[in-house]
Amino acid sequence: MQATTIANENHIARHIKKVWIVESEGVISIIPQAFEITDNDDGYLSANWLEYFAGTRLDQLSRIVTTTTSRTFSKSSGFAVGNIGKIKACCEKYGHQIRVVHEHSEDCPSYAALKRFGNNLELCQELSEAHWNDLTLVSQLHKIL
Amino acid sequence: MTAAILDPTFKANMLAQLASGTAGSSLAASSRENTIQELLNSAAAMGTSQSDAGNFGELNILLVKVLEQIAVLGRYFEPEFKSALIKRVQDLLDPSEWGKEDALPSAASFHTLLRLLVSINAEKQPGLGIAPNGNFVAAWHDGEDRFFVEATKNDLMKWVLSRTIETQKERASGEAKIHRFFEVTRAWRPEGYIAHASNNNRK
Repeated sequence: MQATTIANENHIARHIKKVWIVESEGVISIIPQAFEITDNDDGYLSANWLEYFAGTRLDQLSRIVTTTTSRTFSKSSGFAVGNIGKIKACCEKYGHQIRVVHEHSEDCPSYAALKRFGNNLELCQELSEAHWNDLTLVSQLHKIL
Repeated sequence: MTAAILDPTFKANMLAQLASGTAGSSLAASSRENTIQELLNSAAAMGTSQSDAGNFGELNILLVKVLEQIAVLGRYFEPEFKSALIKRVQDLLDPSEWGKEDALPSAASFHTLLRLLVSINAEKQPGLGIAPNGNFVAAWHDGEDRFFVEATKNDLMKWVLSRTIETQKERASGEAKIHRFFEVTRAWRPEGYIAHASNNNRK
């Protein structure tokens, strides 16, 4: 599989399951653990390259849903979008010099992998709070799908 | 996908009894035991009879176990707090949100979380989520600041927070057993997250 580095000014979207979205005191947020690498992740964090598709933010996210055949997306789940440059800078603060690469595949054409990402709860919390926190629910996309 | 595999009326009655009054005593002990066992049997039977139902049976068994835990420890909570907890747990364990590849939520983790909520006398309703490893996570927000607590099965809490102290945003994380939790996190004023403003000076 050919992997190419994605430029810093681009954005990535991570699928956020419903059970990773919490609300308290009227504020909605994403639990930090949503950004941790698990045993199923092959050693890197998975996301989608937003600018792989043209159009508005909703257009781009909708295209991720319609072109990804390797998985399903429930309406109450969502996508967290963040700028690659800011995500990289945040990771560097915690000692992780990550690479964000595009790995095209038939069942997920916009797939992006965060290489050299390491689990660190404070890093994940800062990402979920400040740099990778722009949440769009899949239910919002279904209006235009 | 159907909303529930248990008889809806039976399940609704069970939930209503749990949510009403002082939950632990709202059902006589023997009656509660029978009810729980009946729900467990029903969930297990459906889980094995629907081969394509994914985690349906297991999630329903888990829901019953979790509701039983709330029935036992819920007497320490305000009725509104307890009702919201039950509603959120039902929502989280909706089988339509769970794939076969997902790690199932842990009943032991939920028990730890309940014990923590009782121990710290939580007044503000936490947001409730489930980590990819199956552990329950409580979340409190205080303005721009956040406090997340992951409950493991062994009474160990993994916590991470952000706190603005004199305009400086601080971040911290750590691990502590329930009985040490408040002491370990004291420097970041945990009462601001979990207690109503009028009680923020409590020890």
